[in-house]
Amino acid sequence: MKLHDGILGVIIAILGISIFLHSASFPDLPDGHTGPGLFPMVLATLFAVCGVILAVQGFRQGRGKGLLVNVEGITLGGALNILVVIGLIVFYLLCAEILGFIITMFVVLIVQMLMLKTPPLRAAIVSACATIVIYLIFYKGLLVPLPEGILSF
Amino acid sequence: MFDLATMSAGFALLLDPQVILVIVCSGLYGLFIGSMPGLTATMAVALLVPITFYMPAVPAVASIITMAAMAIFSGDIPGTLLHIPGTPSSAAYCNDSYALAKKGFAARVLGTDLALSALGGLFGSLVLLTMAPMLAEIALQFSSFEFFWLAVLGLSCAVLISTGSTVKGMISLLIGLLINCIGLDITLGFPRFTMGAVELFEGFNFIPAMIGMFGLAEIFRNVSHKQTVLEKIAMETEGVFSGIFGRIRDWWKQILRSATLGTSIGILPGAGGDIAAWICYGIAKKFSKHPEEYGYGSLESIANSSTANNAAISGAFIPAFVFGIPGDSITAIVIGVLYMKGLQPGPSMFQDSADFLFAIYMVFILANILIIPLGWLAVRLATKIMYVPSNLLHPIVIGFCIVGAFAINNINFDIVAMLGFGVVAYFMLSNGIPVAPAILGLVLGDMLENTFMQSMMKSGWDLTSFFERPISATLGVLTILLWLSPLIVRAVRRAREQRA
Repeated sequence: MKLHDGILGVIIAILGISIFLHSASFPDLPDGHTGPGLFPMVLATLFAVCGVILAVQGFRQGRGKGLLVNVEGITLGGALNILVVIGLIVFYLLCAEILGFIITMFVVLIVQMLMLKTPPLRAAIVSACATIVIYLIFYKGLLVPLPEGILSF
Repeated sequence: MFDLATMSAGFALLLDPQVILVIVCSGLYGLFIGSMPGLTATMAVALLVPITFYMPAVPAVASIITMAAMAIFSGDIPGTLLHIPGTPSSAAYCNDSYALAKKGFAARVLGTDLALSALGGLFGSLVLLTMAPMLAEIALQFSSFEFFWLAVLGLSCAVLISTGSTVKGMISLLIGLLINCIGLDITLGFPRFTMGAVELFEGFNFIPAMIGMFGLAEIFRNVSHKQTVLEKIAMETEGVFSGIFGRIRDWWKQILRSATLGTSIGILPGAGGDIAAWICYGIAKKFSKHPEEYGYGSLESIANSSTANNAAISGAFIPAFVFGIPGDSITAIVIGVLYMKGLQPGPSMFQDSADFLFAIYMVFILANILIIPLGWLAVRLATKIMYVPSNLLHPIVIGFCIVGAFAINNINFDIVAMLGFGVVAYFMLSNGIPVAPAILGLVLGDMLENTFMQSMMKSGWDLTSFFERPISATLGVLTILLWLSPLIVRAVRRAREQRA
């Protein structure tokens, strides 16, 4: 997703200012100098300044062109694909404890493969194999306690 | 440099059959990932780290070194056969290699690539071997003042060299530094920006962040574009090395120039193999007897750039080992790994862990020699391995991202962090903000703040103390000159235009 440089600059400037204000509330050092807040404040100031420069450059160059979100180079389907991948990672986070690693990872893989138009049988076989290989490497090989869930063995 | 005892201890660390097995396996893995279009060498490293986490330090770092060298070479394979560079480092001379391959010279192109990748890598390793201990000797006398300037210098380089606009490079760096501020601060232990989450007290774990920024974000980019089906082409890949010695003899001067330049660019923080390849391509063209061939099938350009990108990969390790300042995003990850292994990159490592360093030097040499047989194998198999369809491969990479992020601390929070970093990096990439400066910010943020705060408390908040010690003052002046350099260049150019 590509934003107009001007808009991006404004967002960055606002973010910088809010980080600065928040950091200003951090406590001082016992000797009265700014301690924990010093670095965030300096960085946030620079961040806001960069945002302003970017905004000025962007509005200057982009005069006459469309102002708002510029979605060139990405199709609706492409954006949906990204959302599906994010959704699947969230699904893994929510369900891995209950369903166990094997089932959850299989679902995560097969849904993506089908989304990318793999023939269903092939998707099922490759997903199953990949899930088992990952399981063997990390659970059996490296002893990472992947969630077992309902399939404990 | 090294006494006999260290050397034999180093060899003992290296010649462990397990280490050799790890080196060969990670070499094959690097060749595979590098030759897949859309999967970069840095992504390969980020996905490998969760596995290296469970190894001792020598095999862990050895696997990363071998893998990176192999991936940078094998990125040339799809560049030559399909006109799609496998990694950004192969982009500079992709037109040349493809044009030659279409004329039926694929084998010759890949043979030249392979031989010179190995030579370039070896050259960079030899520079590392000789220069690093000497620099470490000097760096031993550094105090927090010098290290502060080194960190600033490194970060400034990363911004100024980064591709695209300087403002966007700066924004990227600041994103990295600001994210690094999250967690307990070093002066008072005050929790900054943690929003009450205990998981954030230590800040974000480095590895999930890397996996998100280099693994997940790339996959987002790949799945959001139309899937291209690679057309099958039959290419002659026989006789890979025929005539290679003659070519090296004819071009040895420019090869040496590209190797030197490539290594130096690698040393600069923030600039890695891709920038080295572009710069050496441009310079080779300028000095070439046949500049008109460049871009349309010049074997000479391929020789120069593939020397440079592998030399840069080795060169990037010099500042990483000596100062703890990464030369590119791969060494940034290596520094993270060294910290996890309890080794502190920096001059003291040259005294405390000399056997480790000796083993690592040998790995550099070994990896760059191994690149010849393994790379030859990859070229012979190239027409087969490249057709693993991306609609199977990308989902599997996501699987590894999830498990890899989890494997470091075994908590789901790291998967959330990985997802967050992936989304942020994707958003940055699609808005033309480079990711590399942010990574450097994340790695060097602690060093920057800690050395500054220490120096201030030592000197009683006197800013001029940063210019009191001779080396510190030199580094400071150098940094300021570097900041002013764009202004100076512009002023000179303007003066020239007015005169003309």
